[in-house]
Amino acid sequence: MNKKQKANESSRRKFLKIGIGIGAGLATGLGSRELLASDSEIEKKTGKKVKLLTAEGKLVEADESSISYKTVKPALGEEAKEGLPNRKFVMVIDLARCKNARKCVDACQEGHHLPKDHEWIKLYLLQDSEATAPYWFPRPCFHCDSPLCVSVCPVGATYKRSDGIVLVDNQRCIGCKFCMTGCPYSARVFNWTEPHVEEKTKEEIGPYSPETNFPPVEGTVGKCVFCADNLRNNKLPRCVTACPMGVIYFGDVLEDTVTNGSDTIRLSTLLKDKSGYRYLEELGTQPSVYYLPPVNRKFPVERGFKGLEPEVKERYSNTQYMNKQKDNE
Amino acid sequence: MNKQKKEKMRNQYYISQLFFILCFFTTIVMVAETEAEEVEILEIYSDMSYLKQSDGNMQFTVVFTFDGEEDTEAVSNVPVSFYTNEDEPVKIAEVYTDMTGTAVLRIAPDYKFPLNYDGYFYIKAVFDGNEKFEGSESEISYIDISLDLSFDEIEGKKYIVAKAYKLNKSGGIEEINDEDVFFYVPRMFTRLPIGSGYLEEGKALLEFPTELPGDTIGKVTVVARIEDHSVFGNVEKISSVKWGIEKINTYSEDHRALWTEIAPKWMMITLMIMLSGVWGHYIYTIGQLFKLKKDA
Amino acid sequence: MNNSKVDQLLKEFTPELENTSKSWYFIFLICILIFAFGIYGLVTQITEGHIVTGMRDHVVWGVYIVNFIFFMGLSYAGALISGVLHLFKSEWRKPIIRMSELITVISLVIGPVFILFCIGRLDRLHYLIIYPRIQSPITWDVIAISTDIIGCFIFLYLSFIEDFAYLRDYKNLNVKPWRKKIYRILSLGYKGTIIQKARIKRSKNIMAAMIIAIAIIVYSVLAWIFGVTLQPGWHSTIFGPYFVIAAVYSGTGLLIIIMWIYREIYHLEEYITLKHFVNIGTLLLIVGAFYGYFTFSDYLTKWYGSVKMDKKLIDALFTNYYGLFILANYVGVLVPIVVVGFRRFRNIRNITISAVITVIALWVNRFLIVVPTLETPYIPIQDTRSEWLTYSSTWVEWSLTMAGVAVFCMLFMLATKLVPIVSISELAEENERGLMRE
Repeated sequence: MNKKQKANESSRRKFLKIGIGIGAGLATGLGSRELLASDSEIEKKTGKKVKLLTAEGKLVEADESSISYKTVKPALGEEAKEGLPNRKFVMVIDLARCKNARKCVDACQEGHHLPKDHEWIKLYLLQDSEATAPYWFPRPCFHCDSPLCVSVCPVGATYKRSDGIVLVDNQRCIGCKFCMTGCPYSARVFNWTEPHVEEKTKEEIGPYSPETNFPPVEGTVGKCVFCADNLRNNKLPRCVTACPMGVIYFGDVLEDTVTNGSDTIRLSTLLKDKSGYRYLEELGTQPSVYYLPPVNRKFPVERGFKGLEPEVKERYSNTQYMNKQKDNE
Repeated sequence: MNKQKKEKMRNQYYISQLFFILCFFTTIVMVAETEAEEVEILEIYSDMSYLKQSDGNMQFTVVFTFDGEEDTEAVSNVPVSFYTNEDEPVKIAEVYTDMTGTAVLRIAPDYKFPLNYDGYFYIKAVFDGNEKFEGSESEISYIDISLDLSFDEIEGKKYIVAKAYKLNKSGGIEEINDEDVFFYVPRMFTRLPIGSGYLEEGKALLEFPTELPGDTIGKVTVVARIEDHSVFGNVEKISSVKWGIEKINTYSEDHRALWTEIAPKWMMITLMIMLSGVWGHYIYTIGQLFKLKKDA
Repeated sequence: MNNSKVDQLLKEFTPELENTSKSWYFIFLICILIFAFGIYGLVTQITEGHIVTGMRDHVVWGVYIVNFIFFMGLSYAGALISGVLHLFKSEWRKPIIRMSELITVISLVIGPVFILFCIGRLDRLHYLIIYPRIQSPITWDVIAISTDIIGCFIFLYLSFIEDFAYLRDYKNLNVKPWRKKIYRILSLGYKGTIIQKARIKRSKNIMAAMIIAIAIIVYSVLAWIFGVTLQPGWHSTIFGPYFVIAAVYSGTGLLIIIMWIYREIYHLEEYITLKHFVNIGTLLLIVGAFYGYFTFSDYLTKWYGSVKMDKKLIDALFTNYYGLFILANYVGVLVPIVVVGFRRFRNIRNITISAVITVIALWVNRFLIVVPTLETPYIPIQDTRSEWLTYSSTWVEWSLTMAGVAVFCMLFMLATKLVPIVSISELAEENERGLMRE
């Protein structure tokens, strides 16, 4: 009973946050988009009416009841090549807090309806050298500013937008896989077979858009899209909101602000204070994802193995860390 | 012998009657219980919050939820009555909850609230209940204050100035001191906290952050907030100033690089030269072959 | 025109055009069967998707790309012998020109087909033409290969014209009428006049120069497909020249093999002598030495510098792929050098065996370039599935490889039925010039 109560408590809190968020959003008149870290269902279903009690005691409809809560659909075809105006997206991942909870992976798989084989964000157990400590390393696509994958595509199926996001158009891709060899971070996946897609989901999501990369096409390439469909609705990417530790920060570099859903901080401050860096900077690809070094770790590395499915745990069996464990035994 | 037998039979008769009556009552109770189970009314939870908005409206948001099978679910489309005055509740409005179980009521700034002795207003939101849900109510009580937000340059430095005041009983303006005011800048997903000030001598100052990006012309919108205060609730004031850095995306459509749509110039030129050189020779050779045929 | 010499040559070489032996049909049938098996593999791949190959998300290029590079490399036989030696006007090359040019054109036709097997969506192949991106090495490759194929076809055809003219005029030619018609049409009314001869000669000179240039460009572009990426092992500045040398090496090896085969079958001992084998063998030696030098240089610099990823790659090569590495880079280099270099070993049989070893070693060398690099990316592969960790090719890929070889044999055999295996016109010319000198 206690567990259920607890669960209900937290979901109630979530509800309140949403409700109050909507309320607060309405208040500013700036466009509630800017203030919600919220659920798309509310935006779809809400037919919000706000009542205003005037000084005379009359109850009228408030002006803001005309705010539309319609979700903006992902852009199709040529429109998808245009980035969101005056934005440049950046991500910061705090390695000090990551404990391989894999909620980001689950949220991404679910949100994009990915088959189990495809992981657009992968979690690695890296260890830079013998004496340095191992750490958990979430790796989404880095959406590089100097993307080699885009340079080598022979048909222009993958492109970089003005807002920094690199997308793949599965209706143009010929499946030569040159981009997969071009990416030094192994960020891309390939549809080796006909992907299993449910008709119901297909109808829900609508026609193919490079921003959702759904439905996937056999013989083409897929990768992390920084949830471009969410960004059109001023919502954070799914991995950011799913992380229980607030490891992933996301934001607009031109606004100098990143947030992990609960903490909002200036990007310049974060990178300066925590000595942010980019992975394999010397390759010159100019990634849009910064990492904060695993200093003052909140959890020991072993926490990352807790509760893992055996198949997932096996993946790390050949890492430097696990080999050392085996040697010690 | 007969008498004993008769008594025994009488006892048996009483016992069996008792037994039947017991069964009967048990059945009735069981039936009643099942019927009761079918019409059990669900308990609901309510939560109300208050925000004094920038334009002076007072916004009351109340959310009604209940414990569904797996998760919390919303109590939607039910009437919520708002009452004021704690001692003699007066109904001032009725709002229906939406799909998320939220009902929002705004009250214009010059609405005459009945205040209690200490100057607090009182709002109660009541859902009376229906065949499915129990009734629930939620109440809050705060003092109504307002914030003022302005921007000043003092001794060459840029400051954000916040003032808090309330109307006292005689209609005069009373300064509020010794409270924290938090400042934010609204960004794409959330609000960026830029600092806080302490109300002293009627105002709270915060030095304007250096190199803060604004919009395309450098305008920065600032939100001043008194947050989760036990007496004042949440109070906001929003204003903007053109002290920020202009936010311009320097990405150019005409940019030529390896990863853009248009190739670098030298690449195209080199390719043209090489192709024309080789194919020129091919065409010459094929021409020779045609002439060969003609010569024959 | 020295008619008697030409007649003698025609009498000698037309029987192969006229009659087809039983063994020809038998070998052709085997090739067709292998080809059919390859088609079955292809159909499996098309219906079930690329999952039936051994390629997965990390090793995305496998046997198909290796075959592509390999067959493209074989086409260098023509570039070298026909192109370079033509410009040198060396006389001894004449009996083997036809063979080398046929090898060139046929392998150029087969090579790109292997890329098609590797492409995920064949129905969008035309996008390469209508939406090309000039910055992509694959676009360079498409342009270069199509230019190369057309150039080599033109060059081949130029060498056919005179022979077709002789065949057209040969009264005793005993072939079906439709074939005679082909000779008539394709010879473009060549009568052997001075102007016509001059035209052909000029065209051949131009095309020979073009072929050399194009061949180098094509193979360099292919090398740059690997060279411009950042992958450890591929991002090497030597790749352009290295691939060109390796291609010449493999082409020369194949040429020796074909020379030997047709010398045996058609009894061409008079025309293709030990001298030819030794000359081509010497070329093999020189190019093989260069190939060994480039390979050594590449791996020495990788090994000596302590770059982590290079070290990982070299470790993988020397542990997982040790046997193959030795075959490709030690045996494949040393055997031809020893065989041709020492007079004691220098006979036709040995040279041919070393050529076979060369060709196989070079296939393995391409494999070692493509696959181990993809198995050691910058971010180490952490995965449970064994087929995602290492590459293991499947029957589909091998069936298509065998089919490629079978198609090569088939096309070559068909070509020998169309034209004489030795260029009659060139040989006649040689004798003519010899006569004139006397």
